[in-house]
Amino acid sequence: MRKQKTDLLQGTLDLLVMKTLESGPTHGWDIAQRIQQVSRNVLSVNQGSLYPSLHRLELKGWIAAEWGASENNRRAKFYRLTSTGRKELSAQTETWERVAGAIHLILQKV
Amino acid sequence: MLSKIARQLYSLIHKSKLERELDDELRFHLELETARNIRRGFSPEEAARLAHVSFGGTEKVKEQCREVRGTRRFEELWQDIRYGVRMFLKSPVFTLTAVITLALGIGANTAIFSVVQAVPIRPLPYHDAERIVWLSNRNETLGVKDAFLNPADILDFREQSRSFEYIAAWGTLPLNLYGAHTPERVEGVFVTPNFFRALGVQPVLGRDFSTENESDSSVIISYGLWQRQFGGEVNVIGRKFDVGLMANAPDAHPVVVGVLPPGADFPQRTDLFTVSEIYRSGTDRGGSHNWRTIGRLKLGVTIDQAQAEISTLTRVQAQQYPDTNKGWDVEVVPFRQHLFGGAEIALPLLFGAVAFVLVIACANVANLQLGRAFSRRKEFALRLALGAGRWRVVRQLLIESLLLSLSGCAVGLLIAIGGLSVLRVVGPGSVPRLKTAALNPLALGFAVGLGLSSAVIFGLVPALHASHSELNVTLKDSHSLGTTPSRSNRFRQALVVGQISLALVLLTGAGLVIKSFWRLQTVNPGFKSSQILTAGLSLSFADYPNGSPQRTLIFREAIERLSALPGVTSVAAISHLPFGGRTMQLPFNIKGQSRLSKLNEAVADYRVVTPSFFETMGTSLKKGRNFDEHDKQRTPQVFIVNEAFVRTYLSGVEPVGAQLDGDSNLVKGEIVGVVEDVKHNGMEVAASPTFYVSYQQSSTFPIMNFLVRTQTDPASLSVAVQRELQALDARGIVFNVRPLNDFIADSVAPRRFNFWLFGAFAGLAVLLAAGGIYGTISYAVAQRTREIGIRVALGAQGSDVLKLVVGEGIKMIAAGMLIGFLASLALAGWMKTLLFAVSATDPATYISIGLLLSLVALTACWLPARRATKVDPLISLRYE
Repeated sequence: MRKQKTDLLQGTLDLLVMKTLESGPTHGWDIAQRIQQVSRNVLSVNQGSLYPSLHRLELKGWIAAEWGASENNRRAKFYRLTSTGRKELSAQTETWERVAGAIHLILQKV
Repeated sequence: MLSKIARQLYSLIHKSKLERELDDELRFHLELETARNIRRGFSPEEAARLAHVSFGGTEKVKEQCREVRGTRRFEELWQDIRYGVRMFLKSPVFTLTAVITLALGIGANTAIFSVVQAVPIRPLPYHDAERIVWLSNRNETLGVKDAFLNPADILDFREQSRSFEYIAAWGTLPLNLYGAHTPERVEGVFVTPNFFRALGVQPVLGRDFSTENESDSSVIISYGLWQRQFGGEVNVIGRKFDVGLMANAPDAHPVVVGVLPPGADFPQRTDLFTVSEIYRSGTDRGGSHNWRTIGRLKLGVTIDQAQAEISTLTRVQAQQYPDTNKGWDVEVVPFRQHLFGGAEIALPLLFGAVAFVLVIACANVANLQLGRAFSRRKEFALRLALGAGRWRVVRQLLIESLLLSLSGCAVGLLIAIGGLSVLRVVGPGSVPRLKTAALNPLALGFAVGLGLSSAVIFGLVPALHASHSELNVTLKDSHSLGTTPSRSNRFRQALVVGQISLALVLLTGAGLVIKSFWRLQTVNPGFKSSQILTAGLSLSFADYPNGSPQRTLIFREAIERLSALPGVTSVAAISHLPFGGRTMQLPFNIKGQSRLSKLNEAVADYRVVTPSFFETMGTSLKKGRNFDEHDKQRTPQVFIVNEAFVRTYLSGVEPVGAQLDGDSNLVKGEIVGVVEDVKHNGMEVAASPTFYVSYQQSSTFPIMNFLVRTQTDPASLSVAVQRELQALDARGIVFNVRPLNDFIADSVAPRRFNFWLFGAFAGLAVLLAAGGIYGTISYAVAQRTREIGIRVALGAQGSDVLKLVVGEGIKMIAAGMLIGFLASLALAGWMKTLLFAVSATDPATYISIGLLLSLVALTACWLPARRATKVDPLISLRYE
């Protein structure tokens, strides 16, 4: 823990997971890696906390899971975004952008 | 919401699979992370450690994932249930007692309520049936009740009363029906034209009788007869058929003008209605009391108002016509009461009895639950102390209570189903619609609701109380010497007192019913009914008209033929079978008895018998002589009267030789003998004044009921008797071939039914109440073990301890008995209708029942008390 890392709100993590899955199905470890890489290690997901999020999204039906073979030919659980998940992602993204924009405006003005 | 629960249930069911998959998934992640770390140059051990660090706690993640599944509450529920079952198995006596208690209460209640619901509460199939009343004559001076009405009086009421929309009357007229499907003897009546208007019934086919100028040959038939004999054909209207007997109409070929709806069954089992209006015949008021009468009250008129008005009218009649009407009054009773009589009165009482049992059962369960909850206070306190949520503890108790009461309900349902089928089989046929009684869901719901709530409320309330109590106080309680909080104890004592008093009320009720039944069994019916086979022969009126000597001849031949059958000891015949329904009542007076002239309007039952009747029946002749073969058409008319006749009309007078007189030739003649009373109208009904005439002197009825006394089982002669009678006359109809004992069994069946049910319920109540006392005292002893130990250590003797414990019980018993006795006396009025030859406040019954219950209660008290005397002070002080 040498670097200062930002904690993620639960809802935010869900959004990030769905965004990551938008580009195609993958497994949990890969999602964790990608979030870290894409955010240039600013957003460090506590890797374990990814799984409750994945299971929650699966239960909501926004993502679906199936077991398949990984690159190293191991049995892995692959997640993909469902069509309702896709709609949810765009809706949540829009909300997030609006809120972020508003917060940005406030931070600049004051 | 539903899909969520479905998913949760799925997760629950596939729990082990999901767990395995979760393990696999996380392991896979850690392996990839470790591999990555190795690629970055870490040693395998370090790589694995770092992977775990960046992952966070595996178990914590797993737990979070499980929480996402949402199955935690189900798992906890399952845990609670298993725990509850374990707790019950640990105290099987408690569990069994509670379950059986609840089951008995719920089962009995549901079964009886279903019967009550099926039998009288259902509406009668008549329009505004509550406006229909039954009118009957009574004369308190003569001790006559429920007599039929005189036509002149009926006409007076029709003209002068303002309470009634219609007053209708009818008389019975059994008929032989020919020319339809098969010859059949049908129950017929002649009714006034307004009869169906008074009853509120409209024919489903054809028309009602016209109140003006209705043809004498018009008849209305029942739905059943229409289906049975006319195949339900619409063209039955206007059809003529042969009834072979039509006393009031010259025409033996009536015409069907209407068919009644299926539900109409009044008078019971009547299939054919002919019409006959009442007319005034000059100044004659001494007409026969042969009209059974109903009235339809005008809208808004109550029974009491109608009764008051009719009583006023009868008083006016008595002043106007003292010779005929003095002392006579008319009683107005609701039609329903007339129809269902005893059956309707007994069922609500039975229901009351069962409700008592249910209340006692609930009190028992409450008592058990209270005791149990109290003794588990420490367990709950401990669980709370160890961090269990309050809701979790309460939920645990809720689940236990539900488990308990649901098992009780399940067993109760079985008892209800079984009990109901038993009731249907053993119930008397005279209780209308009993055979169709089905399990009533409302009744079941009610009983289950009561059972559930008593178990839950009394399991939960003390527990809630305990869960709020200070942990320290509760846990420290075990170290204090004090007795237990008195509030809960006092409540439990009140429950026991209530139980005892309810049990006493039930038990006295049952005692009275049982004593009535016993009295009934010992009633002398005035004849010996065993080994007698009955068979009726109904002749065609057309073939054997009134006054025809052929009637007498054929009946005499029947006697001869039946007597010749092997195995027959003697044969007799009577116009109206004992227990077979009322006969004709005829008015008469007694010549030369000035004292009786005021009772000009004396009436007695008229029965035609063969000379062998009294001997065959085993009825003893008290005075004078029997009929013999010399009493014939041409010889002077003679009568034999019963003792009731002598008591009512000839007290202090020599009956033999007394001359009877009256308007009808039937009643002119001399009394030659007196016989003992025969209970013609039922075991419970006092014998009514009766005169018997010989069949050779009266050919009034074309019907005779033969009584065949046999050496062996009477039923074995049925076929032979049927064959012999049928051979006499092709158009004669043979009916009612049955052992005479069957009629008697039918007539005491309602009482037998009450006897068994009341006995069973009272027994149940006593058992439950004894259980309640036993439980409470045992529990009190257990609670006070320490106190008793100290007392013993300080030198108290066994007898002191016994006194201490039993004393507490005696207080409860005494209070319960006192309340119970007062309640029984208050409720005694309700019991009257159920009783026979026993007063509702019969001291012997009250005393013996009181002793019995005290004995049971004291035993229930003494058993735990004796245990208390065995308390070892050393052990008890170390207790807990």
